[in-house]
Amino acid sequence: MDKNYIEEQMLDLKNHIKVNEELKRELRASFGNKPKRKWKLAAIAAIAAIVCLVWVSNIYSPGVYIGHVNAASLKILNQVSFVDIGTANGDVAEYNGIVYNAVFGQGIYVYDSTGYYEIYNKEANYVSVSPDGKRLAFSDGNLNIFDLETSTATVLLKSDEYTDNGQLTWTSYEQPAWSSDNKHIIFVKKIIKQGEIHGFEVVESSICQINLESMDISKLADGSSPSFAGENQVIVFEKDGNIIRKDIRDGSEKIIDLGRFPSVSPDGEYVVYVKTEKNEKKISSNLSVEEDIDNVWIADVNFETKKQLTMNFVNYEEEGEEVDLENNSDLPMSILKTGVYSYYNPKWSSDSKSIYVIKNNNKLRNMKLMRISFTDSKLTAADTVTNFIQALISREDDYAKSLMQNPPEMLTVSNPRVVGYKIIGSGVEDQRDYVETEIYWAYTAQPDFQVQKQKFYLSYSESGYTIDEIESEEVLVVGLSKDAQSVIMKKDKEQVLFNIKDIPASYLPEEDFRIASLAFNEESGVLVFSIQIIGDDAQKASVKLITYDLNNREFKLIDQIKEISGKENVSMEGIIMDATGRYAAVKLFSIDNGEFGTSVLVYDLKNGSKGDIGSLLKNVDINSIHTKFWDREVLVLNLESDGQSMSYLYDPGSGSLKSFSE
Amino acid sequence: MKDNFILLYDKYFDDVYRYIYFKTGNKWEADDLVSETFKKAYEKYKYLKGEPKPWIMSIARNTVIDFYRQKKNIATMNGNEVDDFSYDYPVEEIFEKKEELGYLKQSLKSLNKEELEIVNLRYFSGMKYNEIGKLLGKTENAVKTKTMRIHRKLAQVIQKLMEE
Repeated sequence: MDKNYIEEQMLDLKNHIKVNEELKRELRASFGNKPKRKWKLAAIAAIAAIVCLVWVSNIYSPGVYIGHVNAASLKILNQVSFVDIGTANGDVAEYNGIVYNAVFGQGIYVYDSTGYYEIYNKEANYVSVSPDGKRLAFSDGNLNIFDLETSTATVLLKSDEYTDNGQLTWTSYEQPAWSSDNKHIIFVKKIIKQGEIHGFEVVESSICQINLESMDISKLADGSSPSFAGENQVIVFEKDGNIIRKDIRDGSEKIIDLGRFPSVSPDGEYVVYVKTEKNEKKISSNLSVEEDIDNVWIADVNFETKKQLTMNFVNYEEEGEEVDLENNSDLPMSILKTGVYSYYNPKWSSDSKSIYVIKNNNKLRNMKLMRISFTDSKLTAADTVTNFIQALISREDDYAKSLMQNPPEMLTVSNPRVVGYKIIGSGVEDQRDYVETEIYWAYTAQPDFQVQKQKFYLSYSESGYTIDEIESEEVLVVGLSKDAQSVIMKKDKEQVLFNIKDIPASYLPEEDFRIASLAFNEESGVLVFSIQIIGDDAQKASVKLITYDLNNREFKLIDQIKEISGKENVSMEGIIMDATGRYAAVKLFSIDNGEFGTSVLVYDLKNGSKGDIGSLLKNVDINSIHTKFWDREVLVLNLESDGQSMSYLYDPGSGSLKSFSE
Repeated sequence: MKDNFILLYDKYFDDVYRYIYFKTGNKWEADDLVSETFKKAYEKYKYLKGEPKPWIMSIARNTVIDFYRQKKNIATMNGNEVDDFSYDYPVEEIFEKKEELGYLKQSLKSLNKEELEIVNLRYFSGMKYNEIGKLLGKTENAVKTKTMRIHRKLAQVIQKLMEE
């Protein structure tokens, strides 16, 4: 063999180790440029000042009833991003748990309990669903109707093009919204003129309505983003950066607030909109910084009260931009900074209890669909801690930070990884609220599971609870002994739970194997562990799932998994158990699957039944499924399909998947 | 300074990632440890005086060692060197499932952990012999000699596999 052969081949082999490009991009964004010196202190102070409740509560909605309270009294029940739609902007509409998402340049997608899938594959930039849920109005320059029963699109108003004084001119129809009686559509008609040299100019932006029976069109106002309020005698829209309420009976107009993208709730009570707050800070005599921060707001249609819903903050780390906060020139200078997030087109759910909004992360440059749900009751300390832990597991550090009194600059989740939690108590100690929890940690694909007791201390203000301090207490560890011959548990002292040779011979494979992932429920005394049968030329890799009951020292073979999604050579990636110890979610992959997609099986350890998550989504081809955590007895999952990722909830009791919009 | 750090990040991320991923054999652990490595590097960057590559690789190596040390303490492992935990998985499984270089991938199974560490630093992380020597507390010549032995060992295994 040529002496250089190995050298060259080894250098080539390097390229067969796949680098996580997503991590590379995300981590890079976190090291972006930061302002210097006293500005940094100001930034930290600003972050501390804006820490108050923004995010989630229990992640699935318990279906609360909201009475007619004013906007300022509404509290956020949850705030969760559930579909990653990539880099394109879009619009959103919802009817009875079905979310319609127009993605610019791509088409219209649906997110529901059967998946996230395309229903219209041509251009669509704005979408609105009729109050009876039967039709969509959408725009692509034309104004169109999409019949959801027949899946057919028809043009209602066609854009036309003509020459005016030698300049190319055309009309464009945009931003449709339905009247509550399904009989009218309000929309924007723009007249756009090609510039003499380059570009174009919107010479008119009028708000019109069309009667779908008579097809009569009437102009109601000048502006954009219109919607009907109440009995269609009042409209709300944007004009010159103001949110306007207009009574079309007498033509009177009143300004509700500064903002854009207003949308009135179906019950006619509230208007949601995006507002940019400008804050100018003088750094030195010739240098100032202007912060333009978007947030989602809600107001009463009758102007009584308003309330900020999101808690965006300054993006100090815009990629590729050196922010030098010193100005050595004689000319005064102003630097513009925007928020970490931008929000577009907030829209109401058909029951007026939630809003949906397109949220762009300006650091990562990706768009997500987010839902904010409301309640009129206050969140408990335990709810707040639940939200915080869920945010940490989901690696939504910004949300987690917003629930902390003094958040650190970087919130990293180090090894091992948090895979679950349980709230075990709460109370008051020295006049401080506290919540006691068990946090479950595990190493992926390794036989190592830990339970740590953590005590959260919280303080309460009008905006809700924030976490002041976290105390970590005792740790229980279940793992493999160094000689790999026993499974051991250490709490105060170390004890052998069982030796590998104790496992019934019929459960042990004859082939090469190793103990892989495991999980333990202290309360029930049940340990669930896996045996990875190592594949070689002679046999395929597979996984055996076994429980060991510490109470009666019995082993039980739950399953042997030789195939997932029609592929052999199965490997274990992780097990997470719910807090009661009844259910185990098992994440596996097949090395025969070139894309390394993972599958998830959920076992009921009590009766041995299992559910295959991948088989539950009818309308989508899944590339990969990831377990996130158990929220009580509901499993939170993330699914990847065709470059998009979406979150779902699995209820092992009913064996069904639930979307975040249900 | 931040600009320079980003340059260092862009230049060495792949090397650090491959080093840690091959050493741990676990994508999730690799993601966390790579994040931790660059977080430490970011905090210590202002003190960097020498060559950045050996510096960032030593942070990466120490981060993995600290991780296993911590794991050892809490997981009640006894006595052995913490580095024993590295490469504790079927190493051929780390590579993308391509047909090419199949024998070479299989032949890596014949190497011990010290040899795998040299392979990792030399070929997957692109380090020079003298840099590896400093990192592992060996002379440059000792690393070269060991690399030659590794070549011979792999060549023999590959030959055998090809004849089968």
